[in-house]
Amino acid sequence: MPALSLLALSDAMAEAVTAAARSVVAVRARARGTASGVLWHPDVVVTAEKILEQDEDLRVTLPDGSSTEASLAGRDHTTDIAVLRLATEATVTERPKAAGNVSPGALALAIGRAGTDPIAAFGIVAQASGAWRSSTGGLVDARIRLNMELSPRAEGGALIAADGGLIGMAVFGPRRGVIAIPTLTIERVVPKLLAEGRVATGYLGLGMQTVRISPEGAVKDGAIVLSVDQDGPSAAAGVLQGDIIVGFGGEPVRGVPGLLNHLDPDRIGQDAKLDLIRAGQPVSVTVKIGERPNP
Amino acid sequence: MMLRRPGEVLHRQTRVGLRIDGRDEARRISEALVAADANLHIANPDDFAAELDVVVADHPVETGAPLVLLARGLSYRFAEINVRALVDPRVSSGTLAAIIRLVAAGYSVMPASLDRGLNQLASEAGLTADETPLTAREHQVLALLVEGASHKVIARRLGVSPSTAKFHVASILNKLGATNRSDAIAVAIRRGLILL
Repeated sequence: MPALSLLALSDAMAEAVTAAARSVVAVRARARGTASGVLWHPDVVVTAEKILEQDEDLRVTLPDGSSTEASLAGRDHTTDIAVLRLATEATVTERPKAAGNVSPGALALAIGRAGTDPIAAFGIVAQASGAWRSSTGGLVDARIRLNMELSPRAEGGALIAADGGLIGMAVFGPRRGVIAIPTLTIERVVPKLLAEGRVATGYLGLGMQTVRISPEGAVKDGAIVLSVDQDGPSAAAGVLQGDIIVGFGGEPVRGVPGLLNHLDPDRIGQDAKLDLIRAGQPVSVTVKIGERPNP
Repeated sequence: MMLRRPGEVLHRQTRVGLRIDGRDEARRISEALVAADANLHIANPDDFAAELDVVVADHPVETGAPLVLLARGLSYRFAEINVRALVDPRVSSGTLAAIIRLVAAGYSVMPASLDRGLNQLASEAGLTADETPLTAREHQVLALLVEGASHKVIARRLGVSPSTAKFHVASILNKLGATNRSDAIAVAIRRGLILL
């Protein structure tokens, strides 16, 4: 193994950034400042859903410096992924291969584009663990937090590992920390957005809030039903306003966020048993999970 | 005071005492509750408290019966009075009726934030009201946002111009204290403003 050379490390990092920048674009979708995106196909860019303040008059600056119009193909706020279709295809389309598993402490580079120039940030993987659920219910395949200073202009850009593999898209997560939307999640969501413009999620047709109920000292959280969509699946199953949901499919439900776990797209059409407390009585109903109506 | 065990069946109507300031407000709540749930019987003000299953009050009162307090927060020692549910005064009558039935059955229903300390609770509503600062039009826009609608789609669906749609979205973000769409949706899910 050769001795560690600072110069060699520096050169290797610069090379890795140059290589990744061939598939990183600048995206103009908000009033102030641009963000970044990753060329997924010759005419498709993946970017962060959050950065889309506007969804028309979008412009993308390609790696070769040329600029093209783009239209919104679809957006999924639950995983922070948006897909744009380019009016003009990009010439270079060599997207980095997916990175393998990353470990805490591994080096990571974020690459964005500002104007026509690549911009870079450097840090380490602070945490890498299993799948997690966003606050709006999206399933993100890995929790990868970065210790890194990211420019807002690089949000939506590529995040690569030391071997040049694509860890995912660099975005700001909860409390403005830098996280990766993993490549696996992007690969899962992009085809749906291209095909349908959205990711259909399961739908119960209930407006709920988390409440703490305590029968005789035992305290637990449930979700009280505040409103019922009269045309929705829960109304058909007989769920009433004021019911408190404490179980779903035999598992305890701890408040509204817990219910989001059960509404992934693959649950649409399935029957689920809802355990309720109604006027003090335990009641169970079977709901056929619907699909959130398409706008 | 007799407290029934949770789950015990009430074979008769739930007797509800109202301790509401203002005769008109008391009448409004009384009529709304009876309309919402035929099993609720609103007692006369001079009925003995001991015969009440639940008391609904908009201020702390000493009562032997379990208390449903209509308040946006707690700034006093609720443990000293028999508060079994804390409910925003603007909650719909259907939800209030259901909570009264739960309390009559021996449950307590509190905002889930209670454990996080009373300071925070005092600044939060109890069970937040069904109604919100959002206008009816903003509610429609919010529902479309959840479905991933673009400004153009929102405009087309509501028959307004895209700039008006954009204005509604900005107003929702502002009212919910959100920085972007997904943040607004997360807040709205927590507050029960979005149907899941």
